[in-house]
Amino acid sequence: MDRTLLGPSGMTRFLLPLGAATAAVLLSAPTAVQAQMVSICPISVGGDLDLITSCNFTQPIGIEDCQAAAPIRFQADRVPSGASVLDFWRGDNCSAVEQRGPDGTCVHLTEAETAGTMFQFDVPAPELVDCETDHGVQTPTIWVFATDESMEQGMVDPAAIAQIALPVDTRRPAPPEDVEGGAGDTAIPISWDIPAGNTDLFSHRIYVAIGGELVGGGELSADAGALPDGGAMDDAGSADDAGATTDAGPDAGPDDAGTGTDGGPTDAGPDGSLPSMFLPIADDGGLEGGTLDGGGGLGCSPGPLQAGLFIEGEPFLTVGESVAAASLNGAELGLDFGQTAAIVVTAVDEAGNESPTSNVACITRVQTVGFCDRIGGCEEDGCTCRAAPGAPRPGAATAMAAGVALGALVWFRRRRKR
Amino acid sequence: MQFGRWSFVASALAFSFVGATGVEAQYLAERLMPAEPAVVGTPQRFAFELRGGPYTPDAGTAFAESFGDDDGPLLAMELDVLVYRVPYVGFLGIGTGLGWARYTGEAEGPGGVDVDEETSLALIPVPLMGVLRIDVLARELNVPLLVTGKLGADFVFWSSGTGAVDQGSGIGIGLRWGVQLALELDWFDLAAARALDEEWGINHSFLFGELFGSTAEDDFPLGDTSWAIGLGFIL
Repeated sequence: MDRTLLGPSGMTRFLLPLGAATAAVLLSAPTAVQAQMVSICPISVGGDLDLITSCNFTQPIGIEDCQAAAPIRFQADRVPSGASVLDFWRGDNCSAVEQRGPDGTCVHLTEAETAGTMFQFDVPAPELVDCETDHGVQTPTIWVFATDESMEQGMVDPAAIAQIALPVDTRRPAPPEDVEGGAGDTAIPISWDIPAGNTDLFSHRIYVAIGGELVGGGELSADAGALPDGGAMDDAGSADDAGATTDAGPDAGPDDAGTGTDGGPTDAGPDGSLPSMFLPIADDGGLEGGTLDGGGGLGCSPGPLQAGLFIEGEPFLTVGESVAAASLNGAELGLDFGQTAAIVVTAVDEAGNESPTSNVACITRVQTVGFCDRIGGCEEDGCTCRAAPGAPRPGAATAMAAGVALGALVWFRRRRKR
Repeated sequence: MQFGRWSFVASALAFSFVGATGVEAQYLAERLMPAEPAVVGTPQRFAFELRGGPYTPDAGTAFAESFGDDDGPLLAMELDVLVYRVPYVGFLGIGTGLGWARYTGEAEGPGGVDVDEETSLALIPVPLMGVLRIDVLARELNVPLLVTGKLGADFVFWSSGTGAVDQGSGIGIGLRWGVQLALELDWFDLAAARALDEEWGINHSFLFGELFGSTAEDDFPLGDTSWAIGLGFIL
């Protein structure tokens, strides 16, 4: 036997390096918790993959997403094998048990069943975000616990907790102000002012109505139809009942919206966070029992267009968020010379929320006279700036003569040099 | 310097002691005090100008009614190749240029009422000229003035439109002439001018004013007699 090894000094010499090596291995290798941490990654909203990049939302959930109960698809990974439920909470530091208690600040949202350690699942947007309150951009933290019990109130392994930052914006931007239209032929100018509070715009949309019809089609409504009838989310029933235009209007009744006070147009006022904007629209596009706004001094017939309406349709033109002017081609609009059209402008923010329509303005297509028209050579399809054919070009002859003289001079000088 | 100073003393003594004539003294001074070598710059092969000035095509009432008193300006550059030096005169060369001017005004509606639509005319003159740059005053008489004459052809590309419609375009051709008077900037700082030549090959720089004219014409006159000012370089 090696006394050196078995002796106190020998054991020390043997154990110390072994301990150091073991510590090095343990410190360098990922911990068990890190290696098994659950991942809940959003990958699409309503099927649109462009709204999410690297598991992060690039665009807030907006009114349309709430209205359509757009499904948010998640990719779950490294879900612990013992978990049967993914429990969703919203608030600050929901990993703390006391925050999920009766006196806590966290709110239980919903849950989803697990399907293995790696799977995809959908959660309707209204179940995760506050679609009721009118608010600008907010980014609450969504906590997901992979547990075996819904409404988890107890301690949760840190490896089974995932966090998601979910931006939401349910506030429509203010409509553009002081929209003005002009007269012209192929570049009829229009302009507007951007309200100072519209700081998160994405674009402006321009709608045109000719002869009482929207160019490009579409529908107008004075009812926002964008948010569920008022009351708490539970009162609005399931996500299918809340938010659809028909539910917010005449079809909304006690069964659809929970209690009777939650249904119908009048309930969208006192019970809800937003005032009702329902005004009956007549068959001719005007207001029932009311007069058309925009009359008296407006140089065109506004048709269905009016300030404060909501449009469901394709705009004639879309311009950028900081653009406050545009030009419209009267020929492309199909206007005859002397014919007018009504225009309104809306603002769209980053979440896709569209403002009510602006004031109505008029544009007029007129035959214009420009420089070429004054020069001449005008035909049915336009002017070509051409004077009468066969006109002499004295300048060309002089220039040719000068060019020949210059060339001769250079050639003569080079000959003399040789 | 030491040698030169002593040479001067020596020549002065020689003059005074031998009673030499002025010619003999000068001969001795030149032998004892060699002249400083002449400064030779880099070859002068090109002239380059940046210029700007008003320009109003002589298009008559159509132009005035469309664009009012809009006179451009015409911004241009010119490059001359100096092919031959005429002794005691200057350089003979061939030059070409590229310019740009745009005019805008409000179109008219029925009855002559102004409408909110724009009518425009754009010009791109491209002259091709023979150039005579007379630098004898600067080179021989130390007067920092250059005189240049230019004569050749002018090709003016034009386009016009109203609103979103391009209504016409073409090329006007005519005679181009110019008379230029320039102030050479070397005179202000010879050392800097020499350094500019050694580092960048810019032999001379000058400020100029030029009276020029064009008879370019397509289906309507595009020429004008006007003036321009600018900055030029001899490279």
